[in-house]
Amino acid sequence: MKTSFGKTIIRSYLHNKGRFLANFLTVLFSVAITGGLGALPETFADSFAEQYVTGNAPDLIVKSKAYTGFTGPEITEISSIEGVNESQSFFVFDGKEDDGTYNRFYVFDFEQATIAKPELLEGRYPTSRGEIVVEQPTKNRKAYAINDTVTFAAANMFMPAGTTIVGIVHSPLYSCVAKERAELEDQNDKQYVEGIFYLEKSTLLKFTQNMCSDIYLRVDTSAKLLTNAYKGQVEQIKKRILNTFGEDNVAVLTLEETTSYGLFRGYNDKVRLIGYIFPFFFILVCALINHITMTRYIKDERAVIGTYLSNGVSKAKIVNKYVIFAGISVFSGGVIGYLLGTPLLPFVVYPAYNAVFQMSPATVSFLAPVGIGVIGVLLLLALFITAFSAISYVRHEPSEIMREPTPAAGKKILLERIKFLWKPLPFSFKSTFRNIFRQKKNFILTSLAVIGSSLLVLIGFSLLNVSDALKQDELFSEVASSMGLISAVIVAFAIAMALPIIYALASMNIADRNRELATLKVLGYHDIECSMYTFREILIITLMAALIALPISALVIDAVLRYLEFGSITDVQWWSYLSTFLLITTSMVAVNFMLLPRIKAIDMNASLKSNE
Amino acid sequence: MAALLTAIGLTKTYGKGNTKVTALDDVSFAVERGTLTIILGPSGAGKSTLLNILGGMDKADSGVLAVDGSNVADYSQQKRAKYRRDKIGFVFQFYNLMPNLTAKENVELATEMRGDKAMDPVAILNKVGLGHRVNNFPSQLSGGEQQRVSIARALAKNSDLILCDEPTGALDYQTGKDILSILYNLVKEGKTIIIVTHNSALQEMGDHLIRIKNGKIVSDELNPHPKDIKDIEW
Repeated sequence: MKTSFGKTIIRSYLHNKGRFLANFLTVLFSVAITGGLGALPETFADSFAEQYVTGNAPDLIVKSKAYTGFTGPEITEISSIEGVNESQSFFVFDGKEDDGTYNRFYVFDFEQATIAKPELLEGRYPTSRGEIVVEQPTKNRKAYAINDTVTFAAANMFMPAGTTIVGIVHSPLYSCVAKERAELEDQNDKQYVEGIFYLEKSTLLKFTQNMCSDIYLRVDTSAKLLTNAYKGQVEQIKKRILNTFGEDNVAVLTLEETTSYGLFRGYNDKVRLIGYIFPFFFILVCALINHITMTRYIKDERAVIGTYLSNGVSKAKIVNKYVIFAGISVFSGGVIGYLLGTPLLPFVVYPAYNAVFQMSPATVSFLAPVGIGVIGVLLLLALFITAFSAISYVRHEPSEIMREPTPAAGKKILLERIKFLWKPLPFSFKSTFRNIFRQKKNFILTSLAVIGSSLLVLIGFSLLNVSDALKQDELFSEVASSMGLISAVIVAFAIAMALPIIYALASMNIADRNRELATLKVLGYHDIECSMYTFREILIITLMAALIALPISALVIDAVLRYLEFGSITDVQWWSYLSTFLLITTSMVAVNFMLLPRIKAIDMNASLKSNE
Repeated sequence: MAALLTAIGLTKTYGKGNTKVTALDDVSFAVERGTLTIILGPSGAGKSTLLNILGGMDKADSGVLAVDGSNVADYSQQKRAKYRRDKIGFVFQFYNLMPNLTAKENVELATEMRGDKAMDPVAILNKVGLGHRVNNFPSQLSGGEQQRVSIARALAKNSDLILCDEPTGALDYQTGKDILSILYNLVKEGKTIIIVTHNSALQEMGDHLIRIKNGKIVSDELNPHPKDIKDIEW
């Protein structure tokens, strides 16, 4: 008994490979995307931090608020503060040119510099008076070529007219394409520097050589850069400096407070938040597909379940058969999706990130708590849904289970009581409305799929509208330019997700009503009329659900935008709502066309056979 | 009387090679207008196949099925659907009513597609004795009542031929008899009805009896004195 029961299980599993794949692939895809998205912020934070390590960026930047800068004894005092390992003093200023633009000038001792020494990308470091190197160009920084001669009125104290560019460099502190705000005496004056230049201290006139405005510090820490432990240690030293010199005299910036890192963190945090939103959709999709797959599997094996029961197989064993099938298919899909998605997605998205932030190459990390959470939730849901469905069968007598379920009885629906609405309805629509409410499960699941995908489509359009509205913002102009593609991907994904679900639901509905449709055929209904019989239902559910979906989506999107601190629902244009509605309803028409062969294939003999 | 339907050499086989089964083998007969024809045979005799072909649900491999002067055997799928719609009223063994439609609406389902040619659904339901149940759903009706709705649905189309597949098969003795009387009375009013059954007790009630076995017609005889249903026992 035991072995033959085992054999039937293995055969049944092998026979249902398609269903296994349906669970496996949806979960694989969902976990790959959500796990991969979840892995993005950590992976890129590591890779951005790594470029600070390679460039030996300062942990702290101490700026003098005195017009004359730091004195020799002050520099000594700062470098001997407890916890400071290394220091490097230099002079930096932002100057206004005659044409009203701003440039930033650093005076470095290239020979001695170890902290954040600009890496030479091209050319050489300056060695004599009248030579200068420039930070590499970005969208927001002017490009210079080697041997270009420049004259800066703002720096005429340091360099003669007709200074030559001898090198192009890159500092780890300028690893973002965003505009760098000029530091001006008037804090409210918002100006941006267009070029960042470095001069060699020893080439300057003697009286300008000993000026010192800033000091870079490396601190004594074994903690990994930008981790919480690191931040704590750096904060302590920052406090010590401020206690010693007073906030009126010095400003102390941590690495986190630099423009580049601030922008990176803002951007990365948005990606992190988005990574928390997407799992909801994917979990909904997977739960729907698992539900459809497993209930069909169990339903198709009614006769087998009845035979098991009448042969004395325990109910728990029978339920386990399906629960284990669901568990294995979902868990294996989840694990493989995780192993594929967490390294792959960061790799795919890396170029887009790297276009905005100069990062070190990404290191593969398999750590994505979101992905692990999604696997856990999906597994629990699949087990629960399957157990619930299987238990609802084994509770009954074997004879009852084996019988084809009698179709739900018809009854008057609420709408019929509203006589002035019901009366003028054509006959076929009356039938349609009763069917919609007769098959509540189908109604609810289809509506859910339509509302979910409408929401996702509208999110896609909203991102486009919002980023258009935010174009003038600094970093977001970078993001906004890539938003068209992201929107298209989200919209396409939403439709791609809705079609198979609606298809599966509709074909399940057709299978459940095979006998009704076969009877209609015998009565002389043409295939197209038979498909209209089911299609009217899908279409009416879709229209109702899509209409309800719009206000629901607007509410959700409003909450999402607030959560992301990104634009506002009022930025979303009317055509986005209209396009969402049209896109979803036309997709449903497409599903009906795809189902036409299923209707054609219905065998009229099904109408002649017993229902029992 | 002119024949409404003439079958000449209808043959139908299923499968190929070793698994080839001949379901109908050179079947020929004629059905006159206004008669009740009983096609009698045990299960596996080819009754269902013949029923499917007469009802335009399936196509014969060869032979002619002339109805009203045109050969249904030549019809395309589309034309067969139209044939089922216009020429045939079908009464199922298990009634096959739409569960979400009331008795009246189930009849309307058939009359809707016949347009002007259809009869009034309520009048027909009255005729089969269901005038008081027009607004009930199938689940609120007994088996016999459901079969009456099924007959009303076939009748209301006002089609030439009513095909009944084991119309009493799912009913108890007395209810079965009631249903047969309804059909019998319809023939008296001029309807043409074919009943396909394995119940030999029905053989005496028809004007015309065709026995079928192993896909072949074994006897085809007219009965000038059909027995009243009341006098038939089984």
